[in-house]
Amino acid sequence: MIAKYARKIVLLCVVALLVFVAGCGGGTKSSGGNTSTDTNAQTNAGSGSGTASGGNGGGSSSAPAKLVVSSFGGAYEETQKELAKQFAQEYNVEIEFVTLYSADALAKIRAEKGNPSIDVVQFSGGQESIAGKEDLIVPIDLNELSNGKDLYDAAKDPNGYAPAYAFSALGIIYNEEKISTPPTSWKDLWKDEYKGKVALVDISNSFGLQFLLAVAKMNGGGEHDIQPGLDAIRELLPNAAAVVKSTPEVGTLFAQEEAIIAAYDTGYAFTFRQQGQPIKFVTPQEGAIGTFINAQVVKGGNEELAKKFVDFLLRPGIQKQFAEKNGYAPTNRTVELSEELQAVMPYGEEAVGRLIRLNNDLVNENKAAWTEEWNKLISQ
Amino acid sequence: MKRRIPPHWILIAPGLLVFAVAFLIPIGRLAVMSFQENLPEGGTGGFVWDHYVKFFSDPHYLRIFGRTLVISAVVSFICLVMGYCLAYGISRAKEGRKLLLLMIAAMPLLTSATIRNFGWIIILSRKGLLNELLLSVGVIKEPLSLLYTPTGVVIALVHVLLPYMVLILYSVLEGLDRNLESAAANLGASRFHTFRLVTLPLSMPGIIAGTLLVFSISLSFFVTPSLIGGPKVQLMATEIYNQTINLLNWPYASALALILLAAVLIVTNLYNRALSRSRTEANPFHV
Amino acid sequence: MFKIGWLRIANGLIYLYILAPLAVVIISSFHPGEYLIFPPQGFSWRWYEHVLMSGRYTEPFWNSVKIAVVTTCFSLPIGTLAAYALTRYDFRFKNAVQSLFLSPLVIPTLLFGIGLLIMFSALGVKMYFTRLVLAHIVLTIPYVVRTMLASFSQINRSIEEASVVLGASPARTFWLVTLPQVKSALAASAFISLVMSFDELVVALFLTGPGLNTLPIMIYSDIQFNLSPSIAAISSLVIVATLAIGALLIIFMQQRTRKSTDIEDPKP
Repeated sequence: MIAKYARKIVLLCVVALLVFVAGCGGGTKSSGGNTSTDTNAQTNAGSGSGTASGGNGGGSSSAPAKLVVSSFGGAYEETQKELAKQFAQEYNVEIEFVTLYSADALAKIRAEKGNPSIDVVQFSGGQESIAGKEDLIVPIDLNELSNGKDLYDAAKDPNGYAPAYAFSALGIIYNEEKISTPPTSWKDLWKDEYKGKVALVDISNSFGLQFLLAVAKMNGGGEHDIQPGLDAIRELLPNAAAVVKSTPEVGTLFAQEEAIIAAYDTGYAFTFRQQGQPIKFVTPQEGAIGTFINAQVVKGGNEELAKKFVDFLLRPGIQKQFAEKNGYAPTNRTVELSEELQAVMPYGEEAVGRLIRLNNDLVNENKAAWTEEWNKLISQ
Repeated sequence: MKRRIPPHWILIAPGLLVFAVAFLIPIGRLAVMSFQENLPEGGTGGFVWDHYVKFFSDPHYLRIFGRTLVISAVVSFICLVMGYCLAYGISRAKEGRKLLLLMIAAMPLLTSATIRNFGWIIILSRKGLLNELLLSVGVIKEPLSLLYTPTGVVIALVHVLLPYMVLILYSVLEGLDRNLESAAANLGASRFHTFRLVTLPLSMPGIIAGTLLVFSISLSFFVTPSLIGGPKVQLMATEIYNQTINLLNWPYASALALILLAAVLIVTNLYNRALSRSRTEANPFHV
Repeated sequence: MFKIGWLRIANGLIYLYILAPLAVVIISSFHPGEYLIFPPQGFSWRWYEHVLMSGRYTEPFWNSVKIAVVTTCFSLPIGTLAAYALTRYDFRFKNAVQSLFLSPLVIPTLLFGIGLLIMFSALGVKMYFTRLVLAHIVLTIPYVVRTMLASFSQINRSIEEASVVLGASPARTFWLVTLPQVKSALAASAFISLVMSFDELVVALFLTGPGLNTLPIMIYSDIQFNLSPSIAAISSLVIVATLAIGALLIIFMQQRTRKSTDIEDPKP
């Protein structure tokens, strides 16, 4: 009995194998040289945008056009989902959200190059500089966006990709019940009284990287010279309650009161406070490092619709609601916020102008070397 | 003329098919990538040995590799001892209780990784439950640093990998012919001798399978070392994650993964040979 | 008697070790605040209500169940047949085949997921459910193969031989004689496969797409800002649900054993 079927089964296997090997032989070959990868990507992108312009994009479905947007999950994503309903109605499209943190999202669109499953990708850690260089996202002319003219200069992307739709800033957060005199400078983290009470974030997290650069800048270094930063961090390690990798751990450290002070982000500070933690944010005198949260149009996706969605996120009404619900500062200068909100985020021409924008191209170029140095330092 | 296809190929054909499509192709792609240059503008370039050279010439990476192997070996050994005790106990328990005990042993698998590690953080941290307990009993004077250390990683890894060991050992001990044990006992062997000369050799397939399984998984396990070890305890899996997600150096990450795979295949082979040879029971079947 | 006593104590301690972190999780799931902390300050069912009533987790939960069940329906038979071939026959490339079936254990799932995504994307395969299940089958087969290898190589072959001598076909012998002898290994394999697939995040993150959320992805989404007690509540619910299923199984099996004790015990 077995023998009777055996030949068929094996034949089937061989055929299927051949088909797949053939299909992928192409793929393997195309990876051999950079040029052929590019042609491959272009053909795919071409066919992709072809379907998009044909009407609905995203393949053969005849349902209303669909736009896939990556978001960061949790309350952030919930708010965006709510706000996006308006967009869905206006343009008669269906919006689907997928949860991906910035770095994961970049890895995903990188693996899907030429044939993306995401149309709009959101970044908060400067990933757009890499995505742009790798030709994964599409540049945007601000004049094409109806809200382009109202943006702060700081919101504009130096490489011509989509502008930031929200600001947050890296400063100092502290537990106001445990610390009576508010810190004023990054230097305060080194104080003896905070021994074992400082939460440090690893370099693999963008907040940790930002802090390292802030410290380097404070000590005369910067993107060109990280050593002063690393030296200062070495001095700071005895003060650390822990060096953590993932963002939720910082919240837990504060909630457990194992840490009472840290270099951290306004948006998170807002969320922590909303969740009932006695956490306050201050901008250090050296200046806060800006986080420029942006939504980018993925190359080869539904580019036209994606551009409209990016523009939608820049609308003053949308940005205002977003600031009120999630604590991220508007990048559209026409947005008016309450005094209370203004105090907890980088708001207004002056504050926004003071945000330090890291040179992401340089940062990304050096990140591998810095990570290695950092890891050696931390594991000592 | 008509040649019959050997039955074993029919039996493994479905598996081979699935693996050819969904494992060999993607991993083959990564293998090719590991010999390609990582271009700064993204994508991969021509053939280079650089990634392997970089790994074997930098003591930093070799240390990570060594630490990974040691931790995995320690985890496998502890899992084996603890798993054997549990599996032996369960297989000797009353029928009605067996499933309950097995389920308790398997419970770590039922909680999502993040949350299980939260539990460990609470227990292991400097002001954690374990330290407080030990301090109050007076066993230690100073709180132990367990969190963010290799010891902590081992404790948490054993916890999540123990179920695999127990399940495998149990299924072997349960299928074991109990009459052989009674025979040995009837012939006057002591409990210890029966165990050493009958039960242990007969459960050798389970021991081999369990330790190799745990060893392999712990090499590539990411979440637990990352959360419990923090940035200080760098292992191959955390380094691969870092290279893949943060530094986007996929060729190097692939090279690391392949080195890991090669190491496991070598270790597995040596281990198999050593143990198969030492087995008292003549079993012609390679496990 | 002496030895068993020591074993009891040792096992008691091991069970304590297994349960301690889970107890922490379950206890802290009753914390009323937004943060997962221990010990909880107060007692509330809030997060259970959130998990069960908000509807946010219902669909992802069933998606995960579906993926886990379909995955196991493939990986269990495929892995069992392969393990049987690997224990019962000697052939060329046997070691290579065995190594192949076990190697997904060592490849970090992150790279595996990216490799698969590159492939599926190049082929234009966007069937999210199918491609995720395919990946999970590959990820779970090693567990099945490992467990079944150990079990097959240790069972009593003379019964199989007797069956063949008495005229049963190999397929019949396998079904009626071999499989019943390894049923606890089969159960263990199925359980591991179900749980692995149910709890798998990384590959799912890369291979799913819009409209297919799994429970681990919801948890990933929930921990962007903080570790919420909702995740502890989910884990507690999963534990309780599994225990309940287990309890039903125990009752079911006890009734069966009472009915047919001799069939249950196939020892010679």
